[in-house]
Amino acid sequence: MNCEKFKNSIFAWSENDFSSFTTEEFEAHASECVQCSLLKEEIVKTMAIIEQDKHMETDPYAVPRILQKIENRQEAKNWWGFPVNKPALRPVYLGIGILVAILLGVVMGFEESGINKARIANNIDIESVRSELNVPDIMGDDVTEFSNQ
Amino acid sequence: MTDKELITGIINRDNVATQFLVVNYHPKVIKTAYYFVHDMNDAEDLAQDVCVEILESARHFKGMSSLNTWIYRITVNKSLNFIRKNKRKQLFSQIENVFRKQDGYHAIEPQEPSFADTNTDNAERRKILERSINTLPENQRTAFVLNKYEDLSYKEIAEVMNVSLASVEQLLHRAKMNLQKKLIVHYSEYSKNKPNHELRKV
Repeated sequence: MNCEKFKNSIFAWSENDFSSFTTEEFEAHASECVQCSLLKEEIVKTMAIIEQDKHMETDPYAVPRILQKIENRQEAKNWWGFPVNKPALRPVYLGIGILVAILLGVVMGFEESGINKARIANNIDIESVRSELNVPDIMGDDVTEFSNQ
Repeated sequence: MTDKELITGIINRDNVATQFLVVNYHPKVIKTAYYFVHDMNDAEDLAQDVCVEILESARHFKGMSSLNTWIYRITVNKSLNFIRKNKRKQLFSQIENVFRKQDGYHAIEPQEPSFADTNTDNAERRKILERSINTLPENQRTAFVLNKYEDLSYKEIAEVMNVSLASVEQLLHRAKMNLQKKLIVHYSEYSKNKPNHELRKV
């Protein structure tokens, strides 16, 4: 067995996926070639980490913590029975937000134009208009003068 | 409690059923998520999402597969989605770091997996293994994790991944070959860079 074939057979050997003849060949090469033998050892040790991880312990306090989180999340999710946090509804919320902003802008624009009209109306000089149109002031002294004539 | 009783209890918002689900399945879900994301905090968050998903979509569970398989499927999907999102985030942060470096800021290095390993050689090996597994294509990684870490049979993996038995066999074979290749490349470079006397100590 050459080095290339040896390297490509490490996983198969570690999983006993070999015939007895190939196993002998593999082990014979490992005893002859230091580099290949070290490589095999390293890969076997690396793959052994998977076995260690299988016995990993999880935090025992995670269970009450997660129960509390689930409870909080479900309470937040249901606002008057309406699923406010559903991601699918986010575009709808965005649309409503934009619509409200546009409506507010329109309403404020109308109000502004109403205020301007009132301002213009207040600024008209009544006296100058009356004199221009030659209309007597029926509420003032002009009326008596007009009747005497 | 049988699977059917548990599902009925969850649908009816029975607190006992919810507790049973969390107590019995949560540790398992954390472990599976950890095998994919390699970070305990992220795995806990994912397990929480999985539990909420189960509680919310229990009414859609038709019983075509076992509850175990269904939970595995949700966990795998959530973990893969998390990895995809994380990759995108990493890409953006890398771009951000490039610009920050140009501005004279120093980038903060990403945190290493939180697994406490007293043996430094083993910690190094763990990093190498996790990096190599992470570079496998998604379906190969899923098949490999479910087979090697979770000890699921080919039939169970086929049910979780919704593929045929032949596909599982092929995926696992490719995953092992790819992983072997990656480890060989890594350790061959490592042995080239390390002096011979140091190599013997390993």
